[in-house]
Amino acid sequence: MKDSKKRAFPLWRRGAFLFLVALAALFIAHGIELLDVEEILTNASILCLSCIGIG
Amino acid sequence: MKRSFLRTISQILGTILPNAYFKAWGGNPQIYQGKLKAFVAPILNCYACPSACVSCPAGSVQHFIALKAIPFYALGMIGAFGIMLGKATCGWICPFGFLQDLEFKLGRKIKLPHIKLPKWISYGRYIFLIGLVIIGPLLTIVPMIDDETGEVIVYENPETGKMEELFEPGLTTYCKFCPQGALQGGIPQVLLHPELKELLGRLFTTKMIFLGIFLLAFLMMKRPFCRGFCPVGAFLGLFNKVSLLQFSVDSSKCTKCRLCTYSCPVEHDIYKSPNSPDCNRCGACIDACKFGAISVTNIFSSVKTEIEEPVAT
Repeated sequence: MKDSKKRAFPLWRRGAFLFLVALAALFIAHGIELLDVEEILTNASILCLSCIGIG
Repeated sequence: MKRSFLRTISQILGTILPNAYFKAWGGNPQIYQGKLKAFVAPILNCYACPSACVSCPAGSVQHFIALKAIPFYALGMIGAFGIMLGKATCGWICPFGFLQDLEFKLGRKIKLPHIKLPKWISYGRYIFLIGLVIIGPLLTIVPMIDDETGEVIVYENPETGKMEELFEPGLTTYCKFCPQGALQGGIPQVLLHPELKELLGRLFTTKMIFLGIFLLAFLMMKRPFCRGFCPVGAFLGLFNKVSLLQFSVDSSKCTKCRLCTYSCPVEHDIYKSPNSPDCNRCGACIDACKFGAISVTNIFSSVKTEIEEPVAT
């Protein structure tokens, strides 16, 4: 006979989730500090010629 | 409200909102350069599109690597979405995913054959992620050479005080292949700015051929681009196992009838692996399951799993 039982997700997966949240926050903060928003904007505002098919 | 209807509305908004700079279509020659462009959207949405007002994650990562910079910001932004939602943005808001869904439906309507893709195709997207998004831009960085002396140009870095070589930025190698770039960036830009026609060459032709092949494949295959070629989906899928959003299958209810697999836009066997990197989190399987075996949960909750008990005699 089959029955079902409630089980939590493994601890390593919960731990990995929390670790990655912290890592993403660190990456964003460090990325902005390193480049400043103006530089990020400049990079994003250049027309990508490869996307269009020129080059 | 039905989940499939909500998803369609979400996909329509996911196509329109990131491309809502409509001024570009009214003759403004500039692409959008406002502050929203710093937002790296977790979808494959070409930022060379005249009306794009957010950044493409694959493009952003390549641009930073091509400049010899670690793409902390772009990785952090897309990673934040991945950690919370896994690959759900692929299933719910990606414009290129939406196009594939629509084309496949059209293909079924006009009775084209349904070609099933082998499972190994999913390794392809990791090859594109590592090969063309990371290694490609790195390998194409070259030192800047002085035309007269033939030597590498060096300069004194004002921050470190050391002599460093000047370099030519690398190439955005994935963008050179990307069919979404051809569709969303290439064709509209050339139509809006006819002067660009003089600059078009072999690369544009190659991109158009790739785009044509994909558009044809979308009619007969379920999301072939997402499954085998998308680096954004490859990256986001890595978080499916550890993201806040989790799917669970109660195997005491599951009869392995495979209705979930037939309804799945990427033909994934969710009953075998509910949190696989292949799953787009669209929830079509939840609607398809007649036994209520599949549910949405979060990583901190408990889920039902099957246990075997000895049969009383």
